[in-house]
Amino acid sequence: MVKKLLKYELYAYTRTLLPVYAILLGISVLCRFVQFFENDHVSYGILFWSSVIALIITVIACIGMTVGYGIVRFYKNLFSLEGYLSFTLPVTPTAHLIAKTLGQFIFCAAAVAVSLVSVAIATAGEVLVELFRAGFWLIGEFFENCGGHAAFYTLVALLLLVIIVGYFYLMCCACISVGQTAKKNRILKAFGAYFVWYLITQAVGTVGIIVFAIFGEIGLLEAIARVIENYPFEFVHVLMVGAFIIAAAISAMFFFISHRIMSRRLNLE
Amino acid sequence: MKKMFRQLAVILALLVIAFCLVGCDALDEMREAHAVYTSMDPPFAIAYKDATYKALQCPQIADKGIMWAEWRVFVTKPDVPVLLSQQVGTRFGIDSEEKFLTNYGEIVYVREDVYDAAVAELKLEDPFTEFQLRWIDEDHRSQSYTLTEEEEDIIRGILAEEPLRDDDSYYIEDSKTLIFRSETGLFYQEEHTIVKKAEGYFIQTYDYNEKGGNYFFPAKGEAADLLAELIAK
Repeated sequence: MVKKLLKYELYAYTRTLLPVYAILLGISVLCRFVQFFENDHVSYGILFWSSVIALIITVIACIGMTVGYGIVRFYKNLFSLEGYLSFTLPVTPTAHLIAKTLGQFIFCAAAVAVSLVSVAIATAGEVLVELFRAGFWLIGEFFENCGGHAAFYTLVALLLLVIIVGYFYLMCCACISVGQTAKKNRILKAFGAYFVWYLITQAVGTVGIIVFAIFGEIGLLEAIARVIENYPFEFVHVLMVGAFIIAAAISAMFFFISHRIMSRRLNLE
Repeated sequence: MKKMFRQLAVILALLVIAFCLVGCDALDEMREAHAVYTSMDPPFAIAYKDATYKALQCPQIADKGIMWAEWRVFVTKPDVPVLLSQQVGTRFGIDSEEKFLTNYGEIVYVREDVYDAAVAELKLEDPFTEFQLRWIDEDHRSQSYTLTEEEEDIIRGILAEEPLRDDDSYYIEDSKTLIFRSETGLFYQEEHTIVKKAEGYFIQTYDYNEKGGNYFFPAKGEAADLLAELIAK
């Protein structure tokens, strides 16, 4: 059932975001076209930098719209009038959540891919060749310096990227779900839920800094510095895996909150 | 429909070819500033703009001074791409005639065709043989002019006269730097300035000894005409 839900998710994303991607590619072609007229005159400089800024803004807008559309679609599809249809389908809330999260992953990846293609178009020619050369050289240096650890870092970094997308999306879904439990001003309550979560993370961060400062006074920081000095690669492994586990656990918590509200405390308009 | 797709494919192919043929000024500038080590083991060498520069040990730098250099060349290992040359490379100075590369250590990299002459100069007690005028042009590039023998004689004649002591440099209308250098340009000494004031043309020098202060050697007649011509370059 998730497959069918995912299919319609992807249709909806494509209908809305395909024109945005087309505009982004068009602006990148325009940016490249402007470079045909390269010269030292100030008017070319203004035109060129305007096209570059337009491209950067469009890339940011493209990625922002992809993320924003996913969140808005979650709200409209499950908690507005459309929710009456969505929840009459023979599908569990888990399937809804998984389908929406997967749809967000796929189109975030698509937005990034389209952005990279637009950058490639805007730099097509010698610059693109040099960019690839520089990229491969940096990757080569990374693997040479890190040795066998490089492959593991790459894998964990990719997983971290995926989990961060999931973390952010599921956090927004959880806030919206919490907001829906209110009788009125649901959006406001959703923002309130986000603000509470932000306060909690800030409080935890502050407590962490205080603990660190106390550790510093008893010499624990020097011990940690010695460990980093003697085992730098292993330390990075621990950091990355630790971050992944924490992000995955918090994402699971958000998933559980949304699931709980959708299955036990659904409050459609 | 097929015809339309074929036309679209042709247009796309032409666009791709056109995009690939257009260069980039910024990339060309980076290539101009990029040099590579051709040898990481002794004897060291650098390749820059189709020329090879060989390493020369110059321990007398403190005594004799070293030529002027613009710090616009980045030297990297051969495998470093040009886009990263300025981040990863070592910044070197290069003289306006592109004969020497230096980062002001004891080693100067000398262009192959000038290398033997530079080695010979290193052995001389007094390698300074010519005067050279130097200035920065509108494109912020260093320019130079080597004086002829007749012009050098006139300059030496001016410097042989009694100078006027004057610390007042506010009323200088125009100036250019004059250096005394070796034939290859590896060494330079005694930097003077040709100046134009309301009172006429002078060669200005600063006395770094006990007395200190600016000294102006006045030029008259043919000497003043020469200084006027040099300043106008």
